[in-house]
Amino acid sequence: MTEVKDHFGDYALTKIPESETRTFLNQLMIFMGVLAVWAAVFAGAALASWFDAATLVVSVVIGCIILGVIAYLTGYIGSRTRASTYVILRHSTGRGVAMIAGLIISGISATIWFAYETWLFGVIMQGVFPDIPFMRVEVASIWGGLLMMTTALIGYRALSVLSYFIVPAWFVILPMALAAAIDINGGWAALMAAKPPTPADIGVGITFTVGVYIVGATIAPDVTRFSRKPHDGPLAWFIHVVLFMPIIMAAGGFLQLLAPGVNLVAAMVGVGMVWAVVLTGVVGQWTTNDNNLYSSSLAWCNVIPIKRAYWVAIMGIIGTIIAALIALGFGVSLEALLILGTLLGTWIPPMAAVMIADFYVVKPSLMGVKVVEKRYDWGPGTVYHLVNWPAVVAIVVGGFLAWWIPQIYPTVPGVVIGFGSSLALFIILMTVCVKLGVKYGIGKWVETGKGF
Amino acid sequence: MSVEIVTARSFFTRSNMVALVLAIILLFIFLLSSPKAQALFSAYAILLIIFILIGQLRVNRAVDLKQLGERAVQTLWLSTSLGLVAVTMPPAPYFELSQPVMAASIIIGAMLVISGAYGLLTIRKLTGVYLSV
Repeated sequence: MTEVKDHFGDYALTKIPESETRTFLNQLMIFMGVLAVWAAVFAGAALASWFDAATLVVSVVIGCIILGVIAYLTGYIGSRTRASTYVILRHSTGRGVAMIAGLIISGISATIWFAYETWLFGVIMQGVFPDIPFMRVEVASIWGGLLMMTTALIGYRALSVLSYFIVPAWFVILPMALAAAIDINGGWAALMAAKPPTPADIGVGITFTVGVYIVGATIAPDVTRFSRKPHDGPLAWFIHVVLFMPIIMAAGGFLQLLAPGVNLVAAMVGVGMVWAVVLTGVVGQWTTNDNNLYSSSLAWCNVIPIKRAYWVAIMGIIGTIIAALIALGFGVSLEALLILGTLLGTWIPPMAAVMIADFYVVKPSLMGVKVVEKRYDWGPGTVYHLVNWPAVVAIVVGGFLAWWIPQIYPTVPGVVIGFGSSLALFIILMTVCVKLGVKYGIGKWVETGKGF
Repeated sequence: MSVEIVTARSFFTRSNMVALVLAIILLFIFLLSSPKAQALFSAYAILLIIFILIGQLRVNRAVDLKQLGERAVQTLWLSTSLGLVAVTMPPAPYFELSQPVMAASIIIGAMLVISGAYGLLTIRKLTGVYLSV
């Protein structure tokens, strides 16, 4: 990619210059900051309705390894090209499809997550301070949402500073709180003896785990593009998901097994860890939600080229309003998270699969571009297809199979099916097109001087 | 070795030693605390000490001002953040900490946060690296 002036802020549509790259620890802190959120603990609690403690851990670890591999592959594309997910997608899916795919992956999905976690922030605040009007769910959702917008408005530097400040503390507080919660609810022996109310096959748990964080794996390039060395960012992603995500989800799941209906926040408040809940609730939600908004703004810049900060403000306000509306109408429920996680887990992996297949297989093996740095060219004047039809077919078919097959064979992990089938189908279709000389690109788009 | 490197390394070492002393005091008071707190808080204090010592080793081996600054900032962020644990966790009645131990922990935690923040800002000035390294 030719280096062009950054017109939209935080290099939304251009290459990250060498001077702005960051260390391995920086990337690890950013990723762990995304993970340091109560929604992940609650997701683990949802698993407890299906599995005992040992099976829960196994399903989460397998799911996390799958996520780690997917994100390593997507993240490496980001660290080599120094471009965001949505800019990378221009080559594999076509410029027009990259806009729509970006909106599905982040533009809309990440805003929904932002709204959900802003609402959850309100729930936590009301749970800790039930008698203070300023902490009512709907009120806390509003000021919390606006607070979380601030670092996303500033950009990557602010995300890093906040993550450095809170992440190490968060990952010490959580295991301490879990140990206390297990102790007061019967101890390890009771945990190992606890049985789930509605046992399910391990595949359901793997799918659910992958679904919870597959968006994060897909958009890993949004952060790894800042990686100083090519493997720093991808390795940071792998480590944070394989080592730390199981701890977080197990924390929620273990407590749910021991004391059904009691979440970890309530348990922490119950044993007097009020200030720890405030710290992890306020800043923990913040380090996750600003990343949601940050990625959403990058995706929107790829569709409508205005300053990235404007998109942060627009989507942040929309997300905050949605959070307040949820607070006024829905109340506290894990059901919303289950539906959202399953939906995202079904439709987004095929997009990551196409991105991975194009960079690692199609470009080097079918098109002969062996040199990694030359696989994707961009910059002013670069010509893209508007639509790359094999990518569209692969995404639609893979997404459909991921949704449909688990309904017939509940033990089959739908996310893996969706990812695998899209990967295979895209490679097959591209092979046929390239070998037989069939045109795979429809229309054309010439990149402007501003990178749009 | 340039004057800037010597000055920055010397300042970091002083800051880090302050954090190390505070962490050792934390470990000492937690070892003498209630059974429920002993294991968890001692593990926390040991973790803090390990991070501080590793950070010192990394800074000692830094070859230029930028690398020194980055490693110093990373170490100081860790001790600053972990200071928050000593401030927020001990007040929980579950741990059954005595009032003096709780008060000492909160004060030492606050000192870790404040000295860490001061160290970060000073190292940034001395080395010119970002706080978001």
